[in-house]
Amino acid sequence: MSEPIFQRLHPLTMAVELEKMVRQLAFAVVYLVFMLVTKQESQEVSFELLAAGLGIVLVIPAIWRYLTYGYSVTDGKLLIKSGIIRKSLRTIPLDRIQNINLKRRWLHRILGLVELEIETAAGAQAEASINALGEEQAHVLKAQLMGQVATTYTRIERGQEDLVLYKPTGMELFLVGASENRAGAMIAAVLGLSFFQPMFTNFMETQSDKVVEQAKHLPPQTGLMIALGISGFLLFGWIISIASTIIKYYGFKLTEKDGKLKRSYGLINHFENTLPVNRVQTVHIDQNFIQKWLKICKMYVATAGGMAMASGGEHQRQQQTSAHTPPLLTPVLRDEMRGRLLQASLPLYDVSQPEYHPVDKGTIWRHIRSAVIGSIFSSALVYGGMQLLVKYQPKRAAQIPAFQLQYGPYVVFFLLMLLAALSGWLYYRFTRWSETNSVIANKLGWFKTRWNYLPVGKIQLTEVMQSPAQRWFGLGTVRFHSAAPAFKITEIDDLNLELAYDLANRTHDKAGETRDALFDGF
Amino acid sequence: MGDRIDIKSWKNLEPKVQTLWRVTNGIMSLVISCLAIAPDLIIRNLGTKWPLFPFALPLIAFVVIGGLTQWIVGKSYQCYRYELGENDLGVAKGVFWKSWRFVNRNRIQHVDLTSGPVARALGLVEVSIFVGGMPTAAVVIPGLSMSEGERLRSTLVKAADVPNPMETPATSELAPPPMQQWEPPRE
Repeated sequence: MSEPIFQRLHPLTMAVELEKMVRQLAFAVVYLVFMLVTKQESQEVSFELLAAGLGIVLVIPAIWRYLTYGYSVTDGKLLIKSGIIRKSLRTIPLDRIQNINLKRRWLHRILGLVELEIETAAGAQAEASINALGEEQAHVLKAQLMGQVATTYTRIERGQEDLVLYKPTGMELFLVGASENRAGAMIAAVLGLSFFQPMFTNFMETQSDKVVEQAKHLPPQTGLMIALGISGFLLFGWIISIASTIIKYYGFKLTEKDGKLKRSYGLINHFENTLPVNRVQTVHIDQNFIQKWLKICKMYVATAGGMAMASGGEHQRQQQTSAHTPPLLTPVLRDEMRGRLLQASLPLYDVSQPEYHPVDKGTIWRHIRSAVIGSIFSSALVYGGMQLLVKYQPKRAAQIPAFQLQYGPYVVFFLLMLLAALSGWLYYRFTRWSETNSVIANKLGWFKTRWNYLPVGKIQLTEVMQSPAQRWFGLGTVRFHSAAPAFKITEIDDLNLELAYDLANRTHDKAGETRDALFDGF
Repeated sequence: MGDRIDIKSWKNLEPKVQTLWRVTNGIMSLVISCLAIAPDLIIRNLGTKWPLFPFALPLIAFVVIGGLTQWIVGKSYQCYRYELGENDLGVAKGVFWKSWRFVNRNRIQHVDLTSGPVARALGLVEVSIFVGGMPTAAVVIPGLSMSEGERLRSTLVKAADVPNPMETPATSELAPPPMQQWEPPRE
């Protein structure tokens, strides 16, 4: 074994580190700025001193990290060392790498740097993140990680041209952005901000009081105002959705070469992901009713590594904490291209013509049976509420029509049961499953349709479940667990129990025998 | 359709596991009923007319929760079964919400044997089996005798069965997946 020669990162790493830490301490920085702006007499703390302290806290670790960090590719392993006092050396065998991401955030692009992320099957996060390399250095390292013996940029074997699988037009990106609305996400963001920042809330309150004061002088067309406000908000969410989709996925290109899929995209932050096709665990397609009409959809693939594939600048932190972010393969896909991309991501299987079966008809009864207890409970609540009203507020109660008091609870009960029956019928009508060509596939939903594809070889565990309601009608749920953290479970609800057993038993037997099992199914 | 699976013929756990469950459930219901002390004190100190004797709430909670959890032990013992097949393991459990899990032996990543103080006193171990991509145990079999647990572990982790993924000729076949020729959809 040869002695590993460790290489340093690009010196400008320090700048990137600094930016990262500022982002991590964003709250503190924003708070500080806010304090400076709204400086009050009573607060005696010297903010300049605080700022200087923060600066030192930020700068020293950045330099520290640059000086101690080193990487090396030796004997088919990637070695990464870091730390002076608490040293750590991480070893990753090259053949365990699930995917490699090249990222260029806005600062990276200004400085001409690349960040390299390496993921194995171990967890949702990237196992190694090589923060900043020069463009040339990054490509050499990537080639080495892919198993080439390249030492300089010119020696990298490039082979054939990449085969372009999909390249959406600007119009398609616009349409996919337009068929979604981010208003909900914005509300959540504002609420979250106000939750964490009491000062911000105070500020908002004083300001909104002023607005309310002014509003009192306006003519009292409140209904119209509210309607305008809501539609304005929705419109804003819509515009944000379009703009963010276009900025995030500008110049999107999905290519294929030597059994690896490559995606590159981004207007401000630029990303490049490479993933070996045989690491793909599951494939999913989403389409809401507007997209159905526009004949476009979204496609996801999941690997055993977390795959920061959905990664975009501002969602980065959220990404790292949650393993359940959908790993997008392409943000938009024309319906007629589906077959091609399905074939590219699951080349060993033919999923073009699945033989779909419906679920058991008993599911309608099961939905009704499941809803009984909840319906009785809610109508009992209504009944109790009315009794209290009659007892303590007889005057108010007298204003309500008598039949409402008398039949209210029954109406609530039957409406809820009707709703349950309707949802059961919709489930029966629109859910399909198949196991054609060793791929478990299902199709769910009517308002928003989702197709799932899970090769039997990628199944880790099968499970049959039965709730008390399902036992009444001899039904069962089959669950297939895969190793992909984002889409762990593929579920077929309400099959005949015998069939469910049989399916679970058969598929897990097959899962152990397939060629994929050689790689532990990863 | 394959052979019908008969859960009733699967193996039961050690009968002693019921004692273990009774003890742990007893402790758990004691802890939960202790939580009811605070509301009990508050209600009595508010000065309202309280029809029951002091510390009635925790006592009632203890009797109800303890009774329910003791009653469920026998049932869940009857429902908790496992079966070690030729190359797989099946585990059935659940009284109300039933679940049957099947793990293929080739998919097992590692196996844990654990036993707490009570379980050790009774001579029991718990076998947890982990598969890839799941942070928690895929399958847990509590309450096996030491020897049975050890036997289960040694049969499940039989590394020699599994071909070394890096050395088989199939690996080279796997490396670049064959791309099929794509044809544009016919109108």
